Amino acid sequence: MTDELNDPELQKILSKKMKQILSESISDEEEKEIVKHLDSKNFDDFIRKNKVAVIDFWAEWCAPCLILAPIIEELAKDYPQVGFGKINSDENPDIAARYGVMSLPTLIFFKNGEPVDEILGAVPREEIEYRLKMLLIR
Amino acid sequence: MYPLLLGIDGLSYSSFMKCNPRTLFTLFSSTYRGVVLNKKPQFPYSSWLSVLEMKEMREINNFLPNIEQEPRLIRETNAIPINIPITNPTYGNVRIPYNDSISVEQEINEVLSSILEFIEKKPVIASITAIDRFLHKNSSDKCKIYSLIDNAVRKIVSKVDDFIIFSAYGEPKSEEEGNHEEYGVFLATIPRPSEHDTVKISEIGILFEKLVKGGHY
Repeated sequence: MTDELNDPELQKILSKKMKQILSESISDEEEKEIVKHLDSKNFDDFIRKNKVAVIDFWAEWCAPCLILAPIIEELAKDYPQVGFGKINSDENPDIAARYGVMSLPTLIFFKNGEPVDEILGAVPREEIEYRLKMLLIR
Repeated sequence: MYPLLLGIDGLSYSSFMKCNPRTLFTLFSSTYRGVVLNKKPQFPYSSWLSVLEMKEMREINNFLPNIEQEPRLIRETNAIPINIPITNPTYGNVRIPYNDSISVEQEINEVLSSILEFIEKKPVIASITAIDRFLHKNSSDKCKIYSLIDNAVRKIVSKVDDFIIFSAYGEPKSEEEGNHEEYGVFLATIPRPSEHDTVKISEIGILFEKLVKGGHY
């Protein structure tokens, strides 16, 4: 057994596998944290805690939602002072109904816990960024 | 012209904004669309066999060594298979090894000319595997591959009246073979019964059968 562990070839494979597992778990964690997955339990807390928050209302069957998702992730990386979250409207109809979300995707901008702006549909990054900047300088 | 079932393995809505494939975007706004849901692990052989047998085939854990009997969808629609990744090399009229030895351009050109050759005579079931073959290891050429695929799709849809274009799963997420985004693309000239549901992988074969038989081809 000890001889096997001293085998340089085996050491190399184990080290490579270890790096792979570590990098996968780190990137998964990062991905989860960049845009917070919300539900009825943590939604109110999230929009209260973040002075400015952008919430993406989406659903699995919604193709434009999947087009929009990477743009939200990009913006979340570029604006760490803003809380970015996403909430599945099918699984959390109470929250969607509270804000009158009728079509998907809908982005709602919150300031101090209150909805102040919204964007419907998959739009280019520039459109979202413009609205966000307006909100941040106000 | 006969109907076409075209699978573009690994095609993902998540790269539409970044790569801006114009034809696919046009189809996105002008056809019936949906999201294919296929949970991890996703492999080309089990995903495609689920389509072709019209039922979940998750238990298949490798490429088939050979095809003893044509898959059900091919038998029932009398379709021509082209480059289907259920065997390695792929199955049908274009056969390529499922690795990076065949370039994106070569695969697309061969699949395209084969589709255009047969679609006047019979329904066609075809696959383009380039995204899945190349993006596991290196995603830097992603938009170039999207552009080549988009050009091919433009040439195909200008000739074909009825089609389903889909991806059985989204883009590769790591070097691991079965690791992809869980959401694939679905664009079709026929509506689905419940558009506010994700598309099940086995449902794609059933829809294509309906398209072929309903259209009395």
